[in-house]
Amino acid sequence: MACIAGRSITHAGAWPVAFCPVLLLAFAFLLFTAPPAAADDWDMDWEDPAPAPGYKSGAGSTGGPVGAEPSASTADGSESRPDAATGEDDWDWDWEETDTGPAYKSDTTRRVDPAAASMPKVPRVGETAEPDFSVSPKSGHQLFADVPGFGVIPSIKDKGMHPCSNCHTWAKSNLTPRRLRVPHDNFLLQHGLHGKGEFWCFTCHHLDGAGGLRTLEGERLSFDDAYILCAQCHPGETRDWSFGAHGKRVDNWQGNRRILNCTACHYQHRPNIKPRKAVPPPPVRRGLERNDRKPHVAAPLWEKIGARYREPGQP
Amino acid sequence: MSRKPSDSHIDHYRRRFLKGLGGAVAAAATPGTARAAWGGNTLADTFADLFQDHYQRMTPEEIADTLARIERKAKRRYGTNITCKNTPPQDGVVYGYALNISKCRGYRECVSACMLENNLSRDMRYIQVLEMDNGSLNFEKADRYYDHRTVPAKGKYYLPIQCMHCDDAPCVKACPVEATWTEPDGIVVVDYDWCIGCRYCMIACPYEARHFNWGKPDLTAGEINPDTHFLGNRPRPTGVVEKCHFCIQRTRENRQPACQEACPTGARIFGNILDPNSEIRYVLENKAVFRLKEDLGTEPKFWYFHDN
Amino acid sequence: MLFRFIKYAFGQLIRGPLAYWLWLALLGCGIVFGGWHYYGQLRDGLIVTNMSDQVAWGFYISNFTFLVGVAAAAVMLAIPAYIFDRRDIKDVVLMGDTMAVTAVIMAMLFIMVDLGRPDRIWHLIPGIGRFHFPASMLAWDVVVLSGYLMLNLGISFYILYNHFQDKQPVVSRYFPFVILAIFWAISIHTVTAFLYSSNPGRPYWHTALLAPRFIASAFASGPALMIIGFQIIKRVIGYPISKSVISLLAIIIAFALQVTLFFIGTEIFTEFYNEGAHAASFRYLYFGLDGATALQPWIWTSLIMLVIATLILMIHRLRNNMFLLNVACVLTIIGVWIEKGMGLVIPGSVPTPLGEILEYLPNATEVSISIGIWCIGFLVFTLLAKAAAPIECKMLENRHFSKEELI
Repeated sequence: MACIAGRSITHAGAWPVAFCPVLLLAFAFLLFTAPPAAADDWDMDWEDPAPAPGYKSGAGSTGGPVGAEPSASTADGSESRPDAATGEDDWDWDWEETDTGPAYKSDTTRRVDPAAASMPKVPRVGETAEPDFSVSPKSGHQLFADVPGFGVIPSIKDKGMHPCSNCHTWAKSNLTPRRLRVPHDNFLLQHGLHGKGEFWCFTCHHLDGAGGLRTLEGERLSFDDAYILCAQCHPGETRDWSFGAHGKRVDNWQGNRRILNCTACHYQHRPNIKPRKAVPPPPVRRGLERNDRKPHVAAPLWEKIGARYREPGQP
Repeated sequence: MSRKPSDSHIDHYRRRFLKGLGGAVAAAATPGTARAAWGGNTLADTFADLFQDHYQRMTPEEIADTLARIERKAKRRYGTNITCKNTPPQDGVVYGYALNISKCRGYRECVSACMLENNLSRDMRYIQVLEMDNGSLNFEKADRYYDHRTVPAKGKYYLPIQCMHCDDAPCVKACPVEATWTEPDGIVVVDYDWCIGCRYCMIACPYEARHFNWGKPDLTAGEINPDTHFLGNRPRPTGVVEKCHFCIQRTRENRQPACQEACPTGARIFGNILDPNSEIRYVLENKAVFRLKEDLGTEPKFWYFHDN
Repeated sequence: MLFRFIKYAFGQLIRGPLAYWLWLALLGCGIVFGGWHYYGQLRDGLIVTNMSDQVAWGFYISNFTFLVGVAAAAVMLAIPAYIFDRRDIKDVVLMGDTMAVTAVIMAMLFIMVDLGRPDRIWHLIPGIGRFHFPASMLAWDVVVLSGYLMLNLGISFYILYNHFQDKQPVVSRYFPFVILAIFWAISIHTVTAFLYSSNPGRPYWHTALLAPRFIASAFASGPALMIIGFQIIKRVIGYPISKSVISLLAIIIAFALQVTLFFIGTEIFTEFYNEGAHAASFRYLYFGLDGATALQPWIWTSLIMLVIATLILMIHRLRNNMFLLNVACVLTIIGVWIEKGMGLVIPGSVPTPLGEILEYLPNATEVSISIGIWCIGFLVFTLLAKAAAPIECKMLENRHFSKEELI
């Protein structure tokens, strides 16, 4: 398998249980092989109460700057278009063996065993453990004029985010552009327009392997350059991100600027950050009790004014 | 620190007075210097505590002595080996903070990270996350004790409030003994060993940013963060005021403050407002920013902004 | 001569009837009781009180504020005595000063017990410590209070010492200090008001009316205490007090109370006509906020007391009735004590600047320590009066009061 799920899938959504017993077996296998720490949740880090998601990253970035080198992938337009590949039933999932250009390194170099791929324990504040930045990230792309230099922290989460191979080692891929149905919609593509049938897998992924990324124009991208993919549709956010108004700078406020990739916080297939439980409310001074204040019912001004115009008796 | 020339002779006498006291005490306490028989403070340490000078008036040697004494006291009190630093401010740096309220989702990660980092008494928080009603900025309707199953709650937004490190800080003006002042890098600090505990600064602060050690800090040995700074997170005595110090023990070493590090949504942006290339300057110059209670004229260095 | 004076004064202190010793013993018990609780507070910190980060100033500061007003009110005797040269007032002005001295000492004690680190009080001494003058209003307060204490002690001592030597004090020597003390008295209460009104973060206090309000209510509560005190002195020591003194003080209270009520009324109008977030503290105080109503009974009690007292004092026949006058005085003292104490200090922090409502009422420890300080105040006043009264009485012997003149 090219993509090893670093985490088990225990997504609480409606798994079509009858869909595939083999999948369940695979699931069970993963559940037992995955380290306990990782066996928490499919939504994992996005709902993880640990302070900083993807904050400690061990893997080095390997991709080159986009535009610095033309993507050497052999992909031409026709090959990378899903419609061109339609009908290619025995799709070779073992895409690592396909020829990849010099500017693009296959995922093999980044493959890690599930234990290592599991989300590293984020050091609590106050712990002396320093995040390991021994692999210095590459310098930032010149996305915008005058953007201060930065390096992108590769997101280790990417390793666990490609469960395609769970099924598609044995299941045929249907390359027809279409709105995805079960099982994909349970864990894939709830990304704005993407999930509404506008986009689908191969809008962003390269045809020669579900792990590879491609721009809309067909340029190959490394996972570490995911932000370039995002920038295509979200230039405003990307601009804020590259100048520091969005996203997160890690470790220091001065000196080498290292920022988290988009995918460190936004799970790429479902970028909305899900609500979760907050840290418990603060206490009052010990020895005192908080006044039991009635939870006040918030009536925004528009509702208050609206109530005045409403006919009496109407809801 | 510049000292007025007219102060110098007063200073001379003050020093002589304090030295005299200290000398007499040291002479009296020499047998006890090594270790107090009762296991507590040595006599010399006790008197050195009692007559410790104001931070800004201590000579480098006195500061070194004081830092060592603080470490000894922490060892005795908590059994923990801490290091107490005195990292000076950096030239050309004034810290500022910007918080993206459209990103803050009320997880309170910053609140607990701050508590752990800064050795806060467990019933104290430097950061208050206010849950606000959409369409309103009325603090009277805010709730800082929200405890929903998940946040963000519907119809609410979140407004974390901590010390704004005002440029013209009312708390600094209020203090009758100059136990609190603004450092050259813009951090409003407290000398915990000089504060007399009158709490007038807490009354003066419009942001509820100051907190008092009503009792002995509720802190156990295992919870101590050993990386401390004299003006920052060193263990505090009873009966003094403390406050957010922008994690002075971290930020003066170029590290991000704990609240920024802990924020899971990247809502917090910290940096040098004098550096035109800093993130915070980008935010201040390109975003619609506002400051809380700016009309009070205290020039807070903590901004809030929205996406777009 | 000075030695004889001191010896005489101490001689007065250790001589007295059984009731005197019982009174001292009672006060001693109160002081020990308060002291014991203060020891607990020193040992454990202010955590033994009900104060919190939300309400950082409580019962101690409330009492402090009230007492500064009492101290300032001594000027209400000094002005008629020295500026208008009223002979009858001059006879009692020393007793008024004694009350001022006592009130300042108590005010300082209330500050002391409110400090988290009283062991570091030397940080306030300029030179050795660092005195943040003139920036800090609290530093100003230290200056004006200690200065007022010195002035009053100095003037009183000078006059008393001369009377002791059967001499008339030289007016030109002490008159400048009297004038200074008059202005100083106004300043102590103004500075205390500035302590609060200089905080823009606390809209409840942030009003220019605060200082006038303070002065007005002080000129009601101080003379009210004096009327009560003078009657006690008359009864216990036999100090001659003219009726004219009482009636002047009563009229002063009547005026001051009316102005106080007017000020309260204007504040209430301003806050509630267009009620904004700044009026939250007023709403909390008078009507309760979000179900928090702890101070509501207090302030209404106070208001009703003040209104009744004002009515009594405004109507000549009622005011001239000694019993009703005493009732009005007691109502005034308690009413102002609530209005300027708890009613002023606590709502400044409820709701907090960030809108939290954490109600505060003093707990047993705070009340106990306050009782101790009040006992110290009574003790100081008793001793000062005990030592000074005979000298003054001797001085007044050659004045021949008719029976009708005195109360």
